[in-house]
Amino acid sequence: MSVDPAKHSRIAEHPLKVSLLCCCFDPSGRFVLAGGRSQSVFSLDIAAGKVTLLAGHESWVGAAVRAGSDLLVTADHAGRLIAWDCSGEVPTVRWNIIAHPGTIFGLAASADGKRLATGDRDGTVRIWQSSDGQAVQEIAGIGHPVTAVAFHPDGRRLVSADRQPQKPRLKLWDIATTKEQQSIEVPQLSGYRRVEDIEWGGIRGVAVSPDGSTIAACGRSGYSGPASVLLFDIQNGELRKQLDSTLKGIGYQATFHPQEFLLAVAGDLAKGEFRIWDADTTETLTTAETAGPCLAVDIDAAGTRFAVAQASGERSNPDAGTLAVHEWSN
Amino acid sequence: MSQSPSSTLSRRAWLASTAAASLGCCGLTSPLRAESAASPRKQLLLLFLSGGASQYETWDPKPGTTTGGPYRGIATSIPDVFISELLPHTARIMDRLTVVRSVNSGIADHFQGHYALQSGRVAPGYPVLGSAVAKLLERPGDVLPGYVSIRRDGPKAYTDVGDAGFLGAKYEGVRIVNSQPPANLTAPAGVSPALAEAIERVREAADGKFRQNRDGEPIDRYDTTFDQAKGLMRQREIFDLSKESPADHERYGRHEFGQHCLLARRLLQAGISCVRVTHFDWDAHQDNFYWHQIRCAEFDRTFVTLLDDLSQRGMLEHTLVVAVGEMGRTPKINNFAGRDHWGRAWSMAMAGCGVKPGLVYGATNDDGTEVRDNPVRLGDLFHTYLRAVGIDSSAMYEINGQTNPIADPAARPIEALLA
Amino acid sequence: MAGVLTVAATAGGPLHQQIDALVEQRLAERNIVPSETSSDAEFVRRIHLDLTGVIPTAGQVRSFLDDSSPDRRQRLIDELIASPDYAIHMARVVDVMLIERRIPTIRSYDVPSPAWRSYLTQAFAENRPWDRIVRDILTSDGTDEANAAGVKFALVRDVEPHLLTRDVGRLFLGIDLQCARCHDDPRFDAYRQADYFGIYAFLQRMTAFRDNKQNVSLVGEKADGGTMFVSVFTAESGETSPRLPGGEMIIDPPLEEGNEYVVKPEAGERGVPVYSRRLKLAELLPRAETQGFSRNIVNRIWATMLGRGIVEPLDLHHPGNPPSHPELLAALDEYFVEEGFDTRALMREIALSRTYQRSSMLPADSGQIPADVFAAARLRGLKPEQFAWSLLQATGRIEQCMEALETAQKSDEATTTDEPPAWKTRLAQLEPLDRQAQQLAEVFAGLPGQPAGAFQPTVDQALHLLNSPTMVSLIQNAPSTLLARLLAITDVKPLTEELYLSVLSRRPDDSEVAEVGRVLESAGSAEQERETLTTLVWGLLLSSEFRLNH
Repeated sequence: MSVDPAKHSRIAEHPLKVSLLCCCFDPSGRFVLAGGRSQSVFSLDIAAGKVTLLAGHESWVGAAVRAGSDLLVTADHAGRLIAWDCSGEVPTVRWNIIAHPGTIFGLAASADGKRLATGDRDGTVRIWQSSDGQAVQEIAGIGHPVTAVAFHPDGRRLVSADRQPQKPRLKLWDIATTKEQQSIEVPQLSGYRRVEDIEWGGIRGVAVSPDGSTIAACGRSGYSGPASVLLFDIQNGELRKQLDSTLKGIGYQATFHPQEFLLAVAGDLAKGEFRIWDADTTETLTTAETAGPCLAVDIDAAGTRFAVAQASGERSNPDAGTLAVHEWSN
Repeated sequence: MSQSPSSTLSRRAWLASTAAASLGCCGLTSPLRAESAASPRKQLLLLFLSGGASQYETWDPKPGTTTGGPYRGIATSIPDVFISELLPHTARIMDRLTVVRSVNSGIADHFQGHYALQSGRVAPGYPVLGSAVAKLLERPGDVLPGYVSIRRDGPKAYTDVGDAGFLGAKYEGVRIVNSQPPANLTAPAGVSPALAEAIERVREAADGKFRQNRDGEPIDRYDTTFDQAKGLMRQREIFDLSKESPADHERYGRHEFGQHCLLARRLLQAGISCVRVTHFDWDAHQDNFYWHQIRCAEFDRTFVTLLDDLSQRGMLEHTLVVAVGEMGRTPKINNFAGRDHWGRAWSMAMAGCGVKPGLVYGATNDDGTEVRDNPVRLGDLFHTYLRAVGIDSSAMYEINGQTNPIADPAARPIEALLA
Repeated sequence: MAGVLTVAATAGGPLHQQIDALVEQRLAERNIVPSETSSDAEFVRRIHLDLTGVIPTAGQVRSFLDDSSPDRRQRLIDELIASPDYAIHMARVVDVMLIERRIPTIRSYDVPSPAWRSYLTQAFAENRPWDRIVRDILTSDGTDEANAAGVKFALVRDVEPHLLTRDVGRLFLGIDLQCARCHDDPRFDAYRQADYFGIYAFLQRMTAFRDNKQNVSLVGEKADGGTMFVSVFTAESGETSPRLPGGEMIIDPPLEEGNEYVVKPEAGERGVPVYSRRLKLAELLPRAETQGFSRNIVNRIWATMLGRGIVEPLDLHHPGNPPSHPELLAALDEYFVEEGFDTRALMREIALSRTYQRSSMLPADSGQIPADVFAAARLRGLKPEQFAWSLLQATGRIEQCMEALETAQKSDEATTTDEPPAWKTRLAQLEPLDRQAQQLAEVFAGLPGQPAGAFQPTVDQALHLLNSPTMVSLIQNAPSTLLARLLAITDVKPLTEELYLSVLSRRPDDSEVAEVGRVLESAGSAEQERETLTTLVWGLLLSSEFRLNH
């Protein structure tokens, strides 16, 4: 069943007392799990409209991904990875490991769900077996924080994104050999300012198209530039398209729908948006503004719903967030 | 040991000692002065964390609290003392540091905070730490400037509050920007050494004649600057970082802070009384945690390398190293994941000359919002720095016939920190 | 202090005689023998520096030294003080005095220096009374065209009321009310605190206003805002209305609510209140009745001429820091007020005094002479501006610039219609050199916001004089003329004379002529001769005799 990307309605919205950083549907689509600036994972039972708090993390929960038929994995800023079994009434811990010495920014699962990839603040990428959390492979020495990772649909290759000042990079790796196959500098997504000597931009989210031909990287174009999604040819690393939002902020995450359109979220310092692009025509199919910046987005396995995680937009009340679920019609 | 105010400061004593020195006769100097002249000069290195480092992400982590941020505490070489995981190298040498976790400056403003830190008070017009130390540790016959300030170019204005105030331009820091040496250290094109010498002879002859029957004091003062200039020209290599080995460049880090600290080591070794290195910038109103990851990584390795080096070279015994910003950062994490300005409860660290190693002084409450034990003001720290390098901080300056307290009489040194 | 006026002082006579009587009476009391009267060469250099801010040209020195008329000194004083150079010099002096080399936090939110200098130059060219100058500055909000530049005083202090309070006290009244340096006596401090907040209350409603359309920075004012203060020592608090030290509180006139403003301060609008405390200060402060107002400026002018104030430091008039000569200060003060705050007249009287005209050569066997008795001319560093312009004078650049202009003017004489005032013409003539002079002066300038104190040369200045490429060019290259002039002279005696007159403003003595002859003899080639003369010029420019006002 195909959906009309532009036709969607909000079916759930939950205010939470934490600024959110990530969200993800479980494989069955019954739950959305979200994490943020606390040690809890929030599990929203969509049908029941009920939120359960899941304990186990020891720092901010910054990334979440589902794997296979019944797992959902969350990662925190202390390097911990927890796999939640979602087959029961409430998610329970399947395994729980220290995966990195510090913050995990990037987290992805292969298309078949058998492998997980993590990327940390020190520039290390690790590959894990989803079933039990056994380490499989390590790619070290990227040299700058790895902000996002994404598997190629073939499962053999992986894309890492980083925050190298002035020239953030996308790197395509062969997992088995840990050989770098491609390195794409993305100065378009740098927000470096000499005055602070800080990279304000960097690539914040990365995705590979379902047909495996395109890498989507999002971030901000320049220090004050708009939130943008850049599409690169995976073969030669050429920039194919640049999709600029009207929002002057950071594009935090972009994800491909199985129908190959692109859903991306962004935020500035106070508000945010989600936006659906036709990746071929670069046309905006639909967009909506939100009261706080949107840090994360996920499309469920069936391709009929998407969830948006929102941080606080109020300066005076930073410890707040919103988790929303939207449904497409055809 | 503190030098008595009269021996360092009073103008008469100063003139007397200068006269004694120019006579070149050590028999005329008092035992006190002879002793102090023989011992190595005390020195001070200020690592200024400009913009205000977060206490949570450095010396006073509060993991697991709503204010604590995402990072954990890590164990240190002092049992039961934890610091931020962003300072892993520093954690291993914690037993050599003196950390204050209870600074309450009450100032949440860059300029005012920096001025108060540098001068130890709020009232304007006072010399900054480097100028004060340059003046107070000055010895007769000094050729090199007493205070050198090292920073990158183009920082915001608040990183340069600093000047000599009423001590005057002589004690103003020589500024090294982007590792560039001071101007005019070499003869200009077309001026041979012989020509320079001939010019010098004409100048000296003219002064010799002019001095007859006149007040010699301003003439001497002017002459001295030429002696100092020639001394600096001879020693201009102290500013030349390329003289340091590639290995040292690597060890200190190829970033600005690393290179500036390497230059600081070189200058201290050359005998400069006070060196300030500005580590720019820590003003993380947004993206505080990424920002501190970057800054702490620079600071951590370089700081430990520097302390190791100073220690191995025997310099730490007479050099006080101070690492401090102009304020701390808010417990509240704003919605841009930043921390804002905060003066009420924050931290700083010292090591080396005159302070007790392995000491963590003062404490904040559980989520770090208030000082719980032993509150410390910036004025108290100013007294403490001076005392640590052997200066009686209750003494007075006597400048142009005016008497001014060296440090704020309303503040006092923190005896518990002093070795 | 007014009760102890001496016979000599009360006996009247011109002020310069009173000055000498009062100073010499004190010298006699202390058994101090003063130095002789200065030589004509000492005098001609000093008077040019003090009245025009630059050493004389070789020609000016020569003609003065060759003048044997008995009234030559008085004539020179009168000539110089009437010249546009006097006004230009005084503008520089007062600029440094009032602005203290400050720049605003946002550099461009300022009155450009040329406008400010020209404003002050005109004031001194017209011999505008000091009370008027101060009133104009305090009145200026930057809008009134004739007086717009005066707002610089507030702008360089970011229109920050505390900073303005302190500097109004220091610079116009000679009292550092925020005297951070006098914390020792709580009672004393409490007394100052009330004075401080009294002035602060006049100024606290001032606001900075940026007119982005006109691209100017202005001063606005609010109509409300009371002043509370808490004593740091006694924790007593109080509220004060505007009050000058020693004066009465000035209560705001009652205004109907809603009628407080001519223009209400809103976004994009500069506030203009119906009743302005700031203008009240401008009205009340510059008056003889205001404690310290005229005493401050006569002391500062005395210090400009003699190198030391009767009260020193200049901004610390207070009972614990009495004047060295109370009667003299009173006499100057009285004269100044009677003459209607006439700075030129006061400068002239001081210049005419024997005290001013003493030699810097100390009497034989005099031992250490205290600085505060004015027994001999004090050796003092040339101010940065004096030094910069004197370098340009010594190397012939100023004369060269004037000659070039005269040639240019002769060629288009027909265009002269309205004759501009002399000060304006002179300012325009010097303009080509202004940039260079300012760059040089910056090297020798003190710290912003600090009073220019005693002579404090620094090592970076010495390095500049020894090694800066600027110096090579200044000595060797056109438009400097000195080296070329010297090269054109073959005989040693006139050559040495030209050198010494140009650089040191005096004739060389025999031994100096002989020494120059000796070094020139050993120079064989033309190249060597050029090098030797470079050496001589450079060496003398670096000498204390050149660096100091003596």
